[in-house]
Amino acid sequence: MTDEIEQREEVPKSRKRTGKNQPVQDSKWRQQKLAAYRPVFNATSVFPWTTILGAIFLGIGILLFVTNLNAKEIVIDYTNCRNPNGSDVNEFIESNDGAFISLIERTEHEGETTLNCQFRINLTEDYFGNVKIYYGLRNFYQNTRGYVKSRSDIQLAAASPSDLLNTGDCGSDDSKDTIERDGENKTLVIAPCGKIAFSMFNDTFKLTYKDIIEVPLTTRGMVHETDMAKKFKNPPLPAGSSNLCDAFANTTKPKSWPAPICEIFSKSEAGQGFANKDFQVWMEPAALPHFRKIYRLLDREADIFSKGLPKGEYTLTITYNYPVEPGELNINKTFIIAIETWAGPKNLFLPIAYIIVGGVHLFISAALFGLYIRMRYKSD
Amino acid sequence: MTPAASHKGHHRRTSSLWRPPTRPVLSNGAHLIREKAETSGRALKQLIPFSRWIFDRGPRTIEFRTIDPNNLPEAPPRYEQSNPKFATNRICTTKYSPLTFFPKNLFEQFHRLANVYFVFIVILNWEIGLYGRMLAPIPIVFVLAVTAIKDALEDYRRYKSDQKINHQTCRVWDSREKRYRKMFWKHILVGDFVHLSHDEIIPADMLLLRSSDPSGICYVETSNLDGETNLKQRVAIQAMAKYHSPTVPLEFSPENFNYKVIVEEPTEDLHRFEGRLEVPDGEPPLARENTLLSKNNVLLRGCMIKNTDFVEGLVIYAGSETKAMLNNSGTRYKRSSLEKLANWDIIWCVLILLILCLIGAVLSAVWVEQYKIPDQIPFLVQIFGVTGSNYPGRVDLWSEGWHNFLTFIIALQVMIPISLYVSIEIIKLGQIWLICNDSRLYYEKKDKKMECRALNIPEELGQIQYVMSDKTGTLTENQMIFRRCSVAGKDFGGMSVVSEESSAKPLKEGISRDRGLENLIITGLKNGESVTSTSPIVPLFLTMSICNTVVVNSKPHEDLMDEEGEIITSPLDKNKSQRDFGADKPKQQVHFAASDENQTPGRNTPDSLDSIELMEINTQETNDRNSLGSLKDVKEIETRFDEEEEKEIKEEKTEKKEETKTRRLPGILSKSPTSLLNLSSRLKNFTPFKRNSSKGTVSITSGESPPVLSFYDSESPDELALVEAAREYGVRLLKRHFDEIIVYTRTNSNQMRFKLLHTLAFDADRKRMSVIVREIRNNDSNREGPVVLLCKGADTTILPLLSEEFCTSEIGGDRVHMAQLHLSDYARQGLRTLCLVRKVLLEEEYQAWRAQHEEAELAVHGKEERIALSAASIEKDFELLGVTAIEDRLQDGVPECIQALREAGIQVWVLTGDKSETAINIAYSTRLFFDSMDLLNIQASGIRAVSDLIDLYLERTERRSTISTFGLVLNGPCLDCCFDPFNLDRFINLLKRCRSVLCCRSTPLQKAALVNLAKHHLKGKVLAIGDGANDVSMIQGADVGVGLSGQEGMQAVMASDYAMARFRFLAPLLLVHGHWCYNRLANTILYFFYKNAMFVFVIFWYQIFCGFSSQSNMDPFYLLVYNLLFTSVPPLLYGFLEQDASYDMLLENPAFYDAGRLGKKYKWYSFWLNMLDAVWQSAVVFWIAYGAYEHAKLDIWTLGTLQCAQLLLANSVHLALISQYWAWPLLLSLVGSIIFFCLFAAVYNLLPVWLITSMLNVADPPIMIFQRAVMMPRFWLVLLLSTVLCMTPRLTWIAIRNTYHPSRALVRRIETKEETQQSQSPTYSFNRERIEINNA
Repeated sequence: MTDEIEQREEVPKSRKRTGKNQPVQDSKWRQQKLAAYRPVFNATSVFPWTTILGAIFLGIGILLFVTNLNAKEIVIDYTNCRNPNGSDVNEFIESNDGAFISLIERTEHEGETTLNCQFRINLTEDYFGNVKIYYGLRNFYQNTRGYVKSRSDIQLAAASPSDLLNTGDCGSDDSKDTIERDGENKTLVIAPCGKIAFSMFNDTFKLTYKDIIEVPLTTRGMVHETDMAKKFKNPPLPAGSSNLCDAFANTTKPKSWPAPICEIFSKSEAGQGFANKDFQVWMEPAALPHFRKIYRLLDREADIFSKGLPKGEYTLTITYNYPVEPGELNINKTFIIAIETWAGPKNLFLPIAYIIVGGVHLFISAALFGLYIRMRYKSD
Repeated sequence: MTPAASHKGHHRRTSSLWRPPTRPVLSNGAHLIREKAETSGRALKQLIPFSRWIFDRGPRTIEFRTIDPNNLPEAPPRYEQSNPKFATNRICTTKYSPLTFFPKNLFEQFHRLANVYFVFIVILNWEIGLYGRMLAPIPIVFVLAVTAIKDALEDYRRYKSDQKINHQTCRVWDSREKRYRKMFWKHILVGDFVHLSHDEIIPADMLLLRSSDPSGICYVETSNLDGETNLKQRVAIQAMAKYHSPTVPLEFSPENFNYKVIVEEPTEDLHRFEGRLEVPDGEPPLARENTLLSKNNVLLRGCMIKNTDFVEGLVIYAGSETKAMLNNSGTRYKRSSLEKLANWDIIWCVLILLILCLIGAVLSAVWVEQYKIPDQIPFLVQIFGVTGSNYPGRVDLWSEGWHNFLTFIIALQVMIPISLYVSIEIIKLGQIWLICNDSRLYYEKKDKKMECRALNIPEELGQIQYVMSDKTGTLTENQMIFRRCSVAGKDFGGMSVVSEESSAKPLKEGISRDRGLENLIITGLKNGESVTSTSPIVPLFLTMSICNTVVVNSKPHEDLMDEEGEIITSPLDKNKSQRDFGADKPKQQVHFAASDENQTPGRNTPDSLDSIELMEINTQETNDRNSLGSLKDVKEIETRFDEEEEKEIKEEKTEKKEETKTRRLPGILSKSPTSLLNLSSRLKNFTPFKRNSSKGTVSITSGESPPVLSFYDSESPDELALVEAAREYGVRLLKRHFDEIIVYTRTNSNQMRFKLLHTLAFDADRKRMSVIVREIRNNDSNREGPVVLLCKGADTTILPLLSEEFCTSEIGGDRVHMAQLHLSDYARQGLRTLCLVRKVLLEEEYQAWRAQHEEAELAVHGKEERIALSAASIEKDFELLGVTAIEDRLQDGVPECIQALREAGIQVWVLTGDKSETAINIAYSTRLFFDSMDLLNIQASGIRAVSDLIDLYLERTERRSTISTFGLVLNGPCLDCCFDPFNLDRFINLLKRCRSVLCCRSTPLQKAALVNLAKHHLKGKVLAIGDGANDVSMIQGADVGVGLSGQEGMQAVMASDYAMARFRFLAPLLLVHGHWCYNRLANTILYFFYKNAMFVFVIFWYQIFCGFSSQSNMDPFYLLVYNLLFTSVPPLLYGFLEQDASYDMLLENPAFYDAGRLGKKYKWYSFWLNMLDAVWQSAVVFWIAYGAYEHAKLDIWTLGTLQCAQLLLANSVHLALISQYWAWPLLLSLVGSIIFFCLFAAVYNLLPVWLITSMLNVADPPIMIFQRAVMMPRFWLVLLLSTVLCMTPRLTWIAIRNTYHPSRALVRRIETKEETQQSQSPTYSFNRERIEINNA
């Protein structure tokens, strides 16, 4: 770009006078003579820049594209694991692309029906590196205004027993519940309150390698624990008690939950109560209706998996707890195994966008250059 | 002055500023209660108009109040006197007091609709709770606070000026000490006796009790009040006549005033006053006619005492109840056309907002509708579930939609740019500050800066299409100098102006007069000629000194009482009086604070003054010594001439005796015109009035000794020039009384007395003024001379009135012929001409006319027309005495300035009261007209004739419009015909085709009418510039009024929006500052629209992915502070600093001005183009982020941080792209605001949870979100891509446009750059071109 620096000669200083009427001061601000660039944007000056930008963008685009080749992910849509008719058990269904076969089994245990799905996943290549396990939801609007708001952050970061009873913006319907306890009806604060908490995702996944070895998964590094500790705290335990449920004594469970918060994660390795990482992950609203949330990371301490997931056959067993009506709501549930690069997960959008924008800029350069030549000949 | 006066001064005190004690706080409470009751009574009275308005529409009855004078010998403390129930003289023009500031200012701010809108949003949010209830008011509170601070500063300025006025001092009677004492204005109470000296400003409305004038008269100048500069006469009340008797005046002391004054309640009508005196019991009664008070007895606050040594008066209204304050309406609020355009676009913004909200509401309902069983959908948080219906849990779509409509209004509120108003105001303040500080608009001679009185229309300066300029004093200096005269068929003083200027000589050189003419006068006077003599020379000079309204004073006005209220015991002590006069000066400067010129009163330049005076004295002495006659006189003078000249003079002497041949002699000013100019400028700068002094120290033996000093005051500089010229020639106007004029002739040391019978004042229609005098010979009132009417006026009105007899006589015809020749000659030189004529009235003729005239004066209806008729009936059959020519020099740089304005495409119209020849001449010399121009002169009488002329000219312009340009010359009388509805359309057509218009002989009303015509029929922006009271209506009517602080007082400045010292400053003001201001504001406003719209569109795109639930994709906190904190400073700096071309380039290329003149920068489609750009950029910002993060792990606030950063970067780069002047503060602010955003976000994301949740009410507190986001390379990749892609269309467009159609400024810039490059290395650039072509 051709710029020119304002060249101005110094104007002799006007002599100072005292008195009521101060004469004008000869400062650069007052006389509007600040040092400045005067940019000129025309074909001559712009086309080098667009060329450079185009080249840079093309470069970045190609770099991203190459990088993206290293990113791997396998997405398993298991929404249909639940048969719409709901009557058949132990049914095999084939995925659309035929990459895997799933087995649905319905077991009954102590009067409760548990729906399990088994998927056979054939990793055709090695997934070496930090393998991340996500669960994904599509067309699940975790970002509607009422939903995002429906929570009490004070309650979740319960610094004191009274904070626990704070229901914030949960809304009257979702903050209190009347239950029978000790023989009388009591109206108690729900902990955790609000729509987000009520609708917490609770499917669980188990991955086995070659039908024998259970793939070790870890919660380490799933969330930024120090950050989350600021947002999610279990209420202090009453003196002398070691049972978390004592801290939640004056609250009741969300209606849709099978157990109160202090018990529901008892078998989970991800933490208890509000400190449960799965809970924390869910409580962070996703920005877009198609989203994925971290489920676990591959624990690479075990020898076999120290490099990552080797290729081969895997069996994914899903405990299907989270009810979605596949037909009507159009909500899909997915399970994702992913290897990410520095540029993020596998996504061709950015590389392609960069390449296109780079190309557009090169095209603009060419056009401007043509224009420049034309003007040059015209003036000659 | 009178010996008795001295007894008043009892003591001398060193400092005697009288501060009356205030009521002790712990005094008798009863007083307080009483006072409270009284003041509340006053407050109630103020409410009376309302109650009357509500209950009773009947005619108003006049209510009266009684005033007790504060002169009781046993005076109570001032605070216990009975009059304090009326307003005190403390004025308070401030809008607020510290206590009332907040409620009142808030109330006023909510008059602005935008503020109401934003408060509505806040209330809506309080109900709906979209944002934190504490958070939502931040923007509006911020805007209100900034405006409040601005208002507070303005009000403080008013307070300071009030303080200044309130702390002026004057002398008030202290009845305890029985003397006048100095006191602050604010302490003056109704009923006080006030003593004022010459040139003092009247502190409150007063009843005139006593004047130094024996007839009880005093003059006041009311220009501060009604803009009229002429002196008005006021009379002391009848009851005080005994103190004014010219024979045995009684000494007056306020103690002697033992009446009560009953006056009407204060009204704002300046021309109305009723009142009477009431005699208390036990006092001698007064005749009824003596008790009546009229408006002629009242001195109004703000006026200035003139031509009177001192006056004493009784305050009847003070402070806020004075007529001046009641008439003081606030400043006018002008709205610029740019702002009007912007307001339209704001309406478009509202429409866009409503449409978006509507779309959002409908789609939200549609979205909800698709879920058949919303109860089971966790993320459907329904607000309006329909209960009890057949479909439990179904959503009431109408309520849902309506609710969403409201939430969308809150979510998208920034579509209406809240910060726009306050930013524009700040930018305008900054621009005005820059204009005021421009060193090129600073006039060093008078130490005068540009002064901006209107704060809100700087961009109008960039859109001016018509400049209407006054001539006298605006284009010219308005320093009248008598140059030449034509008398008895001969031209005296003739030497071309050019040669005189080129032969400028040092100041000290004695100023010479036209010797030939002088000798003729001397001869004539020696022969005892007077007004009736046949030779016109002496009558001419007598007319010059008599026929005017100049007020003469034999001495400077000196009051025997000094400022402290002490009586000066030795008034004749010259040093003392001089010191007093000097001491008067600083005060005067206070009074004319607005004019604050570095004035040098005449007496401070004794050298130059003495040079004339000594010269005069020398001549006088010679005259005295050589009483034989003129021959020796001439010889004396001759000795000073060169040899060659001497010969000429000798020849001339003989010629003169014969009085047959004509000859030119060196002009009176030919020796040293500049010295006289300098001198007169020094003398005249003294006050708005002209003042001059002549001082002779020689004692004169014969006759009465003339006074030592002469001071002339006049409203008209022309008259002053004539009187001074007459004095130079030895005919000195010595005294001018009510009914008597005394002229002192130096030659024979004689005093001529004239009885002034009538003055037929000047008016713009008659264009002449006359006096009717009777000469009194030899001081013997029994020997009365004939009655003579002396008249002076414009030649067009005077020449037709010459008597048949005179014109047909041999000498007369000759003279008229020669005079006409000379007239056109003078006019060609641009001199202002006046014809002086005389008419000797027969006694019976006069008596008959007098009866008729007196009847006219007493007429009830149509008095003015009848007087004018009566005047016309006597002003005829004149005998021509001579023609005078007065020069008014052009100001520096006027032609260049007009040339520049014309090149800028601005039509310059000069509207003047001068005759057309003079005006046309000036028009040529100012380059308003030039030789290649075809002049169309509309000069005809009657509507039909004018109509025909217009038709003719229209044809002519059509025929030749491509070949030449046209200049139109209009005439006052014809103008009225042009304005006739019959002609108006064609007249306007004609005006449109003319490049320049000159309007001569126009009245102030016609000037205003032309301004209106240009504004409404030609649809142009009009700037009116003028310096005098006659331009006030024009200045006020124009879109931009510019006042020149020149010679004719402050009225024009007071009425103006901009005040400056010189006409030539108009070019930089319009071409540079106007251009810049318009350019800056237009772009800033468009930028604001773009910025806010883009922000809103980004939010709106997101609605597609959140079910149109009006959830914002940015943190609510960013949403609210984005416009106020992140992106406020750069546009402001852009508004201050942007320069599309440099100062010099704009001055050198006036054509660039058309950017604003034709409104190129802000067209109706500019808004839509920017909207389009906003849509594109918002799409880029949103969809790139969407694409990059689709299906990925992304929480809502990370997206928000990203989007905010994208927006900020796009907006910043956009601003840099539209700026053509990357000054370091702008670049710094752009980088700074990005850094600030980062810091802000980082700190915000470190805040504890409870603070964010409870104060800001942000769900899912964004802990460390920003810090995590910037760690991700994807964040930066998206940022880079979106920023570049946002700018691509605009950058490409700008590049293509600048290549195909570069702006002229750009072309100039590149040219100058190439020039400098070529001059540095001529071969290099050539080679480079070659190489580039080869490469291609």
